Amino acid sequence: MTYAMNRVTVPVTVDEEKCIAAKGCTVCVDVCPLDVLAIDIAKGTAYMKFDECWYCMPCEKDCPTGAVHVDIPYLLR
Amino acid sequence: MTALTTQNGISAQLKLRMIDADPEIRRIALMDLADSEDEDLIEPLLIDALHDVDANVRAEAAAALEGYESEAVVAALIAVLTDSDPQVGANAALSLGELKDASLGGVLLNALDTSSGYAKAAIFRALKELKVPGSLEPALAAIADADAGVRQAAVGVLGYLKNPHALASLSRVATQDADSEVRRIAVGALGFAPSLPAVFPALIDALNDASWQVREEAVMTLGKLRAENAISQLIAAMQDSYWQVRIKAARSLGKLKSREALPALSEALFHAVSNLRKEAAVALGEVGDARALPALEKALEDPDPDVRKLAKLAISQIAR
Repeated sequence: MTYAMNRVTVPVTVDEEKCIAAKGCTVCVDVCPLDVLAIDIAKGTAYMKFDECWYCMPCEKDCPTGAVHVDIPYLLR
Repeated sequence: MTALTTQNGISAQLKLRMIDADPEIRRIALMDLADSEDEDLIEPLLIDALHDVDANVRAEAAAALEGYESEAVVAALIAVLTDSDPQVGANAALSLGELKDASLGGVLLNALDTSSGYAKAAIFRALKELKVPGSLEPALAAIADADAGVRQAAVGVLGYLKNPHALASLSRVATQDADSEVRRIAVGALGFAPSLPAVFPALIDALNDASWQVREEAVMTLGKLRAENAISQLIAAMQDSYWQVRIKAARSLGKLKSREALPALSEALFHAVSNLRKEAAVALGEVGDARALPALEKALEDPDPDVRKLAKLAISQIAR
């Protein structure tokens, strides 16, 4: 059986179809208190640059297109 | 976000983005605009954006106008309450609800005559915290409105105005309105009554309402008004089928320091719902009668630590 030695998912995921960072939106990056989100200039979408989320949620709540999803760990729900 | 304004106003780049063919770019430009500081400069642009062809841009503009207090803004927000897109209307209603300047009440009052349904309810909600005396008559008239949302908002206005002339109407609504939420708000609004006799019959009627939320509000209001002649009814409410009502009844009986309620409160000290046990312990401490000590001492063994703590506190209050 294979298993991952390192974490392969991040808590904040961005739907690239919905993300409008290419059009100048930086809401999720601006609201993140830990600055863990960034804009991928090449792709023109936001992504999680540092895996240090504390699940405060404004990035998901304030995203104008509903592109950001925060996956809250089961024990915190 | 990107550079917002120049020294002489809004940057040329932002102006161009605001008229871009892509509605999402216009929307983001609007968000940038709302973040900038020169309110006088921004306000007309946000008002213009309320007429954008794209509903998302209009909704963004309606939300961004929260905190802007001018007649032009209020009139523009009222106009979009009936926007074809419900989100635009909802955002406008929220922004209107944040108004703090009572001098804007006139614009809201004028708009009531030509509004109905959702828009009328939103205008009443905006008027509520402004406490404009002129809203008394329109609110009294609106408690007969066919729309329950309008009636709820109108009763809310009357509750905030605390005008004794509204008490008779509120008492009638509290017992007779078809909508339980309207009745609940009216029962709560009766709590400002300067004297109990005027509202007592309505509150006692409300204790038998079919809706438990109305009954809960009625027991709270009776406690708030220190209605000593309602003690027997409040004790009866300790047997309500909803524990939420029992909790509020216990709180009111505690406030009234009712010794007659000792058996009912002592019994509630062993109810299955721990929140009710906590409230009963607090109430027994407030009543301060030594006859409650055996029950409270037994409650020191309660599985809930909060109940044990409050029982201990109540025992010390009684011992004083």
